[in-house]
Amino acid sequence: MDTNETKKLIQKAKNGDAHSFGIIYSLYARELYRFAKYTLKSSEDAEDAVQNACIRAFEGLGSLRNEDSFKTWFFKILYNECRKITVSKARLKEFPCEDVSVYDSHSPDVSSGVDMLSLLDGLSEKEKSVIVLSVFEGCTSKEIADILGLKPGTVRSSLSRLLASLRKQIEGAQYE
Amino acid sequence: MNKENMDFIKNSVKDDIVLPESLSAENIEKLVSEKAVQKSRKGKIRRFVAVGVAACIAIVSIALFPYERIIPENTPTENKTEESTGNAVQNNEEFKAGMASSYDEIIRSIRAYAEEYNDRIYFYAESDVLEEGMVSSDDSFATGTGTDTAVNGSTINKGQHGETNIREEGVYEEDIFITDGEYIYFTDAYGKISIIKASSDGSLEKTAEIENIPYTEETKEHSYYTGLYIKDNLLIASYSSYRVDEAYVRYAVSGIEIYDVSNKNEPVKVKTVALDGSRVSSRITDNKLILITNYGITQYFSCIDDELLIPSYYDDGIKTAVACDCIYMNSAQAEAYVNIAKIDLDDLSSEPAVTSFLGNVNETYCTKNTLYIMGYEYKNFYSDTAVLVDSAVVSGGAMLSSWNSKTKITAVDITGDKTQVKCSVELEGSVLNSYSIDEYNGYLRIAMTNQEENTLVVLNERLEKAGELTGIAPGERIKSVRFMGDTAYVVTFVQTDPLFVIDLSEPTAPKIAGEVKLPGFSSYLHPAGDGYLVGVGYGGTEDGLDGSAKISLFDVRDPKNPKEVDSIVIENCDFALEPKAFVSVSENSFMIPFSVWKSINDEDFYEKGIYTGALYVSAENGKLVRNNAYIVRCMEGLSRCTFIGDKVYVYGQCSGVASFSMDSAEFISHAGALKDGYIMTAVEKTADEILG
Repeated sequence: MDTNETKKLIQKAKNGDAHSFGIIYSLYARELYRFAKYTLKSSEDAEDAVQNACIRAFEGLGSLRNEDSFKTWFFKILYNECRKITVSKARLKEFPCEDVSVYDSHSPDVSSGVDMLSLLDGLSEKEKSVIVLSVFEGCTSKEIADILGLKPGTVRSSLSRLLASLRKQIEGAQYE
Repeated sequence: MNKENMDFIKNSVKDDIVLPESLSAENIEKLVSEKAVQKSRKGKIRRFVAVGVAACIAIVSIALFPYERIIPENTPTENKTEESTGNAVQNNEEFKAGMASSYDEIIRSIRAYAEEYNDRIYFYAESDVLEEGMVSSDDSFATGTGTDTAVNGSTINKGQHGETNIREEGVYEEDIFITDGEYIYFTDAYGKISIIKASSDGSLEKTAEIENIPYTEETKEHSYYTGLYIKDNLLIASYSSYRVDEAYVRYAVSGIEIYDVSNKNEPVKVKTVALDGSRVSSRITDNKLILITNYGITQYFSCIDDELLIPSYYDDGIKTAVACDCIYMNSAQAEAYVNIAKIDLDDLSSEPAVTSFLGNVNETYCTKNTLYIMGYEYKNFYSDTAVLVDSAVVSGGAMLSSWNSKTKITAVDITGDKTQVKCSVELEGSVLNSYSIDEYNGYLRIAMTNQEENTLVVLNERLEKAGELTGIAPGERIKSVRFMGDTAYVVTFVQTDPLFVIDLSEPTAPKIAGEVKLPGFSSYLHPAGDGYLVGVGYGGTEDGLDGSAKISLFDVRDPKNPKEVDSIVIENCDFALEPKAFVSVSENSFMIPFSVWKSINDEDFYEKGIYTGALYVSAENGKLVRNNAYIVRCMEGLSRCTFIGDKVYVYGQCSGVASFSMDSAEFISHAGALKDGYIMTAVEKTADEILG
């Protein structure tokens, strides 16, 4: 789909056409889910985050000034929805009767590739998001900064360090 | 190197993401159209409630602080007269400072505001929490304890070493990289301080390292230094520290530490003063240190405890709430405080004098007598009501450009024992940095951009509008400003750069005297002596920027007819555009850091990095002369440079310092890099081959 088509769809969605919104959403669906899943670990939480983000995005489309920044804008909303879930989960920890599931188990199969979730374990939420946006979405430092509300310089200086350290981790695991 | 690592990681990782059924396009379409129907029924009522509640809060706030009634005991009754420059903001007795008379009043008002705040639709709590190790390389503060400075903030260097480029004569600023002529002091990307002996032969030796509170699992406190001053044997370091609890609530405390560095191998901490909040900035003038932080309180609205809603200061670790008659509630919105401490450097045992007021601090401009605080207010893009955004959310220029903004300017008198809030004003638009605002002969001149409209506003001592010039370069944005007496030089840009010369000899009627259009734009303007102005920034063509870096020399002797008389353009290059990166060597010569992004031979680019360093330029007889270039290869763009005697030094936050001979440009030595392999190496090519 070319950019003109996308812009037209966004316009229609702005005017309340849910079907057009569904089509644009489908262009980013897998990437959005992947971002949420790597950031939140749990599939359920990731689904909630994406659904909430879609609702917010559809409602807030009227305020999107520049259709070219639709993708960044959508990711920013998604990132905020992920944060809300993390914050509410942290608060729930005070009440032990609530079952706060961390992540669904899956058997790591080293032969077909490294498991991204365990690779990201130990990183902070923001660091995870930086990695996912740069490695999988190919976002520039400026775009990442925009989405996460950081300064581009912060993103740049931490990105090199994070990428190098993740690479070392993968290489280390492969030689064990 | 990043790209290689990215590809490696991507190829190594399992690609096992399967979109669940619930997130299919059909289901999402159904979901959003159902919610849309629900909302259109409720929406109108909710918005009305929000507005209604906001109106009630406003009325309640006014009732709680009927400004006419609050007459604090220590409001001076005469106007202060000024000793030296006569530019003190007048103590306006009619200004309702709104000083609170009890802590109960403050708490009640904030709690009432908090209720309305929590009801607002689309509330997002973001924070600019910098994770450990992620200190931004964009952070920069000026440093320097120059002994002599000339007019208009430019520094004629009578000493033997570089000094921090300060905005206002006599008002010193911190920076990440400073020197006293024998030692070099800098902060690194991890927020630690290094002290390096810079010998006259160019050799470098690290003598000490200072780490702020190290992170431990127990305290979970992150802390990093942000800027430095050196004065005699006192090293003054500003720092920011914070911790985040399990509910992601953030507690930040920022301030200064003073170290006695008589023994350069063993710095001894002699004083700490801190304030609640973050985004610390500071000034030193008349041997008093002014410390400023921004303390956001919205995340404490849900705390049962009231303590966090009142700002505190920490004198050598002892916490004290700011006195309630030093807290100004002069705003209908209670989302953050600006905290200001004044520390007497001649008497470190004395208590700091602390004042707070409701608001944000995004830019500061400080004269010898007055501190001007600029705080931004954004239109939240999810709601229709303009809100004072939680100060922790503001992330700088990139966001600003797409949002409606207002700037609130608050003038604070910093003479005398206490700092006093004098008056404030709200203007449409925003300022670029402290060079956009200037106090001169009793007037405050400000160059602002509001979306795509640019204005030069002139305010009197009560911050009331005295004159205004609107409609400067409509559709463009201000990129740099320099005030020099009765003249303002303003650069705007959208595709090409007009430099405007604005005549301010009649403050009530500013007018454009002349202009010149040229490609690219300058981000920083500096006087070059004899009616010349130097601009440092980006090069371009008629169609916009072209990735080159440019230094322009403007002949502004005839205000009606400014001209670019010469330029230096380097392809695929960036100059460090932070004003503090600019180093005056003499009245008409300077050094500026640069980075060349396209390396000449690509094969070793990922191993060795880019070409980066400092350029030494003079302006002579209407021409720019490239005296020398001091270049290394390393993994980051270098951000500062300086000189001591006949040696030149370049610096990067990860890469440490490298030394060169000023005359031969020969690389001599290197020290202070972070351990992760950020070394600097000498270059094999000549400067001409690298720079073109």
